[in-house]
Amino acid sequence: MGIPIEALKSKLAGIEDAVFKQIETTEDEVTLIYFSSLVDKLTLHQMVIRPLSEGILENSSEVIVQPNISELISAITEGSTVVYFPKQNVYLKVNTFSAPSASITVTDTESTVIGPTNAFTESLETNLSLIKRRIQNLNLKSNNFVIGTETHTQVTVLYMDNIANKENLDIVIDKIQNVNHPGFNDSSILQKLMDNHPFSPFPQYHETDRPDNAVSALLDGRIVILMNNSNGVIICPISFFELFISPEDYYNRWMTASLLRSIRFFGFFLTIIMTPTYISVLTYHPEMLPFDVLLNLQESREKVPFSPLIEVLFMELVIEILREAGSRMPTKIGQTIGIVGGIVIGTAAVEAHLVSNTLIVLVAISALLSFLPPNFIMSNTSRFMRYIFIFAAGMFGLFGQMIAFAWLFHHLLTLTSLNTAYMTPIIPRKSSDLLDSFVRMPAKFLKHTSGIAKAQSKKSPPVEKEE
Amino acid sequence: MRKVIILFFLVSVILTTGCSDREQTQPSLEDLALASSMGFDLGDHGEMKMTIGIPLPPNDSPVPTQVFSIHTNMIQEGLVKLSSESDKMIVLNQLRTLLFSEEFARSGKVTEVVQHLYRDSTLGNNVRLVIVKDDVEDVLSGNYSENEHMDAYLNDLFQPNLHNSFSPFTSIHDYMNTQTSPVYHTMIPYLEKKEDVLKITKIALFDNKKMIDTISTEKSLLIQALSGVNKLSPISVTFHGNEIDKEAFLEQIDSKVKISSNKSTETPKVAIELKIKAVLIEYKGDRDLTNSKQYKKLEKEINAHLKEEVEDTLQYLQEMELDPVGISEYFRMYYKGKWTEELTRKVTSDLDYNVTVNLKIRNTGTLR
Amino acid sequence: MDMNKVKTLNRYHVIFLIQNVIVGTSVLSLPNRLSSMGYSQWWMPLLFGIVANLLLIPIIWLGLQYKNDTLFVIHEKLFGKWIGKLINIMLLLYFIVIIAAVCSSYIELVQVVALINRKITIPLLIFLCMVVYIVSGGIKSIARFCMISFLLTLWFLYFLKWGVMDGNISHTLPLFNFTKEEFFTASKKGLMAIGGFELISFYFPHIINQKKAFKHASIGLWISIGFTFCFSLVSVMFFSQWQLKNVLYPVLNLFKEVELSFLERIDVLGITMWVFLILSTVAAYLWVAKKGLDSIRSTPKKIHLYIIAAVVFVLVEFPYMEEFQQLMFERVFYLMYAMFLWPILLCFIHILKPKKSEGGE
Repeated sequence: MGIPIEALKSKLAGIEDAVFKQIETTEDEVTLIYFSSLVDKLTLHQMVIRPLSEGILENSSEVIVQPNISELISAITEGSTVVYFPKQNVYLKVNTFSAPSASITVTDTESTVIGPTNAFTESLETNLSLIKRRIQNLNLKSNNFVIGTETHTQVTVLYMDNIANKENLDIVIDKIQNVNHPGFNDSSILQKLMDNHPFSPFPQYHETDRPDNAVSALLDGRIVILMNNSNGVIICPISFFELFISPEDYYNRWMTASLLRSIRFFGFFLTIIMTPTYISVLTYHPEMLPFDVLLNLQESREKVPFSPLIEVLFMELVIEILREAGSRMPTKIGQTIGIVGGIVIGTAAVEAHLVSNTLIVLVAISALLSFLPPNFIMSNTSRFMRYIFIFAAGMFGLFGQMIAFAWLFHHLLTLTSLNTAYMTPIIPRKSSDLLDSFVRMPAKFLKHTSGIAKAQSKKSPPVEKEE
Repeated sequence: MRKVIILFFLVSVILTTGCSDREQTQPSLEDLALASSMGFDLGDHGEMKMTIGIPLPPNDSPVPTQVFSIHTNMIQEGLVKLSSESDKMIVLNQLRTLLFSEEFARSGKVTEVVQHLYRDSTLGNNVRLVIVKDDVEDVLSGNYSENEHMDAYLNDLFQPNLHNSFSPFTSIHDYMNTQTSPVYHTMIPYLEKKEDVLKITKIALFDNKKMIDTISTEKSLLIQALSGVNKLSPISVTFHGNEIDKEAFLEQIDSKVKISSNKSTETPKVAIELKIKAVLIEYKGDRDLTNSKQYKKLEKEINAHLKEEVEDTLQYLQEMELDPVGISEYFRMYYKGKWTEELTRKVTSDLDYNVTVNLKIRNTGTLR
Repeated sequence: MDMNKVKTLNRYHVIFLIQNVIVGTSVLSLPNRLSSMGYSQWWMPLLFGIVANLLLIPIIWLGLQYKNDTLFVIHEKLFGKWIGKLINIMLLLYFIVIIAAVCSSYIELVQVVALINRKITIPLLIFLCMVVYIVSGGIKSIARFCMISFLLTLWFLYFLKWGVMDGNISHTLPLFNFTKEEFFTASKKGLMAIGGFELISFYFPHIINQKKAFKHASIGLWISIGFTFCFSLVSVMFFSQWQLKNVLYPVLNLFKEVELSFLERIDVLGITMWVFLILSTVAAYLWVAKKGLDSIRSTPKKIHLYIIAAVVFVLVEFPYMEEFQQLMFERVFYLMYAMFLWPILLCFIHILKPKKSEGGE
C-alpha cells in the first residue's frame, strides 16, 4: 500500500500552480502539495508549517488512512494541502482553502425599501452561514452533493427536518443525483435541469439572492438548494402566485402589503393585454371605447401609415431594445441612454407619424408593469407572453386574445413544480392559504404553513388530497 | 412532448397568419368614418331620404361634422353609396342618435328602419330615438355656434340627468320593446330647432307604428312618474283656484308610485298612489311659511294641484286610448291566456281610476 | 405525472366538470328556445334542474355497479362484444355531431359579433387546436380548466344588473299562463340546455369518492341551473314576448344594455369570453369521444384525438349540403333525450342480467 509521490507528480503535471514543497523537520523531510491559487501563504504558514515545526500537525489535520489517488487529487483541487511523510508513508490532509472571496453585499436584483438587505455571496460557506445565523436550530439539516461531471461543483440541500415534506426531499435528491451536465456556473442552470416542463416560459422554481427569502421558505417547509460559486439559491416547490410575493410584503403593514401585492399580480395580466387590446379595438371592435376617446385615437392614428399590429410591434421592440441596451452598457451610460432614448425616440416617433401618441403611453405603462414581479425571470416571461397576445389580437381581435388566455391558463394549470400543481389558488389545497393570498392578513393570523409545501408540521390543517 | 409540439404549432400559426393575411384584415380605425347620428326624412315620392352625421377628429378639419345625405329605399344600400362618396367606409358601430322627421314618423315607417338596425349586431343599445319637427337634414347640418360639435351637442341633449327626466330617452331596445309589447305604447322625445338652439319641446306619442300626437313635457313628466321613475325633474306649480298662492317651484323630487288593480278586465279599476318628496325652492304668495299650519295648507294645495294634473293626463290618455304608462300591465299580470292589443285598448278606455297624491315637502331651503 | 393513475377527480373536479359542461352555447339562446311559453318560461330551468337531478340517479347507480368501467365498457359487458361495439360506434357518431354542432353555433356567433366579414376557417382551427391541447392533458386537466372558466365567467352575472334595472318584474306573472302544446314545444326545444351531465357515466371511474359523487354532481348541476335561471329570468323581465321569440341570442342583447364609463360595449367582451365555457364543454365531449374510439379500437392512442378533431373540423367547415348539416345539428339534440333515458334501460338490463351470469358460473 501507499502511493509514491511520483504518481501524484505525474497526475499534476502541466498544472503550473501545483506546488510540491519540501520541508525538513526534525524527524523527516515532508512534502506539502497544494494549489498556490487556492491557498494563501499566510494560511499555509499558520495551518501547516508552524504546527509542523512544533510537531502538533496531527491535531489539526485529517489522516488519510487508506489513500487512493483520486481522493488525494480531489482534496488538492478543493484547496486542501496534502502533507506527505515519506518515512511512515502517510498522507495528511489540512483544510487550507483560502482563496479570496467577495464580502457580503446589498442585494441588487431583489431590493426592498424596508427589511434586511444582505445578499448571498458566491461562496457556499458564507451563504450557509447567512442562513444558519438566522435559524439557530438543530432541525436545520443539510445534504451535500457534488455535481457537474467536469466542474465538481458542491451543492447543499437544506431543509427543516421537522417541517419539510420528506417526499419532496426525496424528489429533490433524486433529481440532483440524476443531473448529468458538465458544468455549472450558476444555480439557475441546475434549476432548469430540474424542470418538469423544460419548454414552458414560466420559471418552475423560485430563485432568490435574499437570505430572508430562503429562511422564510425553509420555515414554511420548502427545500432550499445552495450551490457553490453561485449567489442565487433555489427554493422549491413554488406556486405561480408566489412569484409575485416580495419579502417586503411581510415587513409592511398588512393593508399596504395587500394592495401592492394585488397590483403586482394583476399588473402581470395587464401588461400582457394592454397593447394587444389596443390592436383589437382599433382593428376589430371600434364600438368598445367611448366616442371621445375614439375620436382622439382616430386623430392620432390619422397619419400613421402602418396597421396597428405593425405599429405596436415596432414600439414594443424599440422598448425591448432600449432595455437590453441599457442593461448591457456600463451603468453610468446605461441610465442616460434609458431616459434619453425613451423620451427622444418616443417623441420623435410621434412627430414622424410612425406611431400614435396613445400607443406611446400604453407601451410605456406596460413596460413599467412588466417590471413589477419581484422575480426577474417572471418579468421576462411577461414580456415574452405579450408578443403571443399581440399576434393573437392582430389575427382575431378579442376572440384571439381570449383563446390566448385560455391557452395561458391551461398551460399554467398543467405546470408543476416538484410534481406539485403550480396554480395553487385555483386548485384548492388548503383554506388557510387564502389568508396569505391577495390579501395578506395581519401576521397574527399567518400561523399555518402553506398548502403547496405539504409540510408535516402540526400547525397546519390537513392537506386536501390532490396530487 | 406532444403538448410542446401543439404549443409550438399554435404559436407558429398565430405568428404566421398574424402577419401574412394582409388582404383580409379589417380596415383599422383611421379608415372608418364613425357615424354618430343618422336621420330619416320623407322624400317627395314617398321614398326615404337618409342623412348621416360623421364627427371628425377635433383638430385637423375645418368643419367639425361631415354631413351626407342620399335618397334611398334601403338603409344598407344607402350606406354603401355614401361610403363611395366619402373617402372612408361608413360604419354604424358608434351610432348614438337616430332622428326621424315628424312627417316620416306619421307615415309609420319608423318601425321598419328601427327593426333593421335592431338586427345589426354592430350597433349598441345606447342609440336614442328622436322625432324632429321639420327636416332632419336641417338639424344635422345646422350650425350651432355655441356647441361647435353637433354630435356632442345632440348626445348631451339625450343623456339622462336630473333636469330632463320628463323625457323617455327611448333607445332602440325600448322602441322595439314597446312596439312589440301588447301593453305599452311608444313615446319618443320631440325636438325643435329654434334658430341656433335645439330643444326637446314635446313628447311624441305612438299608436302602433304611427305617431299620432304630441304631449307637453309636463304631462310626460307625470307619465314618467307613474311608470316608476324615481327622480323627477323640477316641477313648477301655478295655482289657479285660490287667491293666496300664486306660484311654487319644487326641486329634488323623489317619487314613488304604487298601482294596484282590481284584476278584472271587465270592470277595470285601479288605485294609483303617488308619493312625492320634494324641496320647495321658490314660493310666491302670501302665506307665512314659518307657521306650520300654513305650511301644511300649502302642502295640501300643491297636492290637490298635482292630483288634478295626474287625472288630466290620465283622462287625456284614456280619450286617445293609449297606454304609455303600462297600467294595463297590472291587469295582464293576472290575466290567463294571451293578452292582446284589443284588451289593452279596452282596459284603457273602460278604466276607472282613483288617484291619490301624497306630497311631503322636506324643507324650504336654508332661509326661513 | 398522474396520467397513469385512474382515480384522479376529487369533489371540486366533479362539481365543476358537471357545472361547466352544462353551461355551453345553450344558455346563450335558451330564452329564445323556450319562447313558445312566453313570459311563463322563467321557471323552466328550475324544472329542468329537477328532471336532470332525477335522471342522475340511474346514471350514478349504474356507475356504482361498475365502479371501474366507463359506459363504453359497460355496453360491451352487458350486450356482448359486437353489439356493444355497435352501440359504441353510434354513441361516438353522436358525440362527434354534438361537438360539431356546439362548435359551429358558437363560431357563427363569434363571426356575427366579433369577427365581422371574416372567414371562420382559421378561428375554428385555432379553437380546435386549443380543445385538443386541453384534452391531451386528461380528464383532470379538463376539470381544472372548468374551474378556471367558472371563476373567470362568474362576473357575467353582474352585467345582468342593467337588464334588471330596465326590466319589469311583473312579467313573471301570471305564473302558469300557457297551453299544453306550448309547454311541450318549449321543453322539447329547451331540455338540451341541461345536456352534459350525462357525461358523468364516462368519467365516473376516475372519481375518487364515488359514494358521494351523486351529492357533488347535484351541487354542480344546481350551480349551472342557477346560472341558467338568472339569465332566463332577466331575459323575461327585459324583453317583450315578441323579442323573446325573435331575438336569437337574448344574452347578447342583455350585454348590450350594459353601460360602463370606460367600456362602451361589453357584448363583444362577453361573447368572446364565453369561449371559456364553450372550450370546457367541447373539451369534455371530445375527451369522451376519444375514449369511445379507444374502446372501439381496443387500444388507447393519442392519434384518435386528432382524428376526431379533424372529423369535427370537416363537419363544421365544409358546407356540403348545407341544409343537411343544419338539419343534423338541429336533430342531434333530440338524440340527447335518448341519451338521458338510456341509463334507465341499462339499469333494467343490469338487474335482469346477473341471474343468467350466475347460472353460467
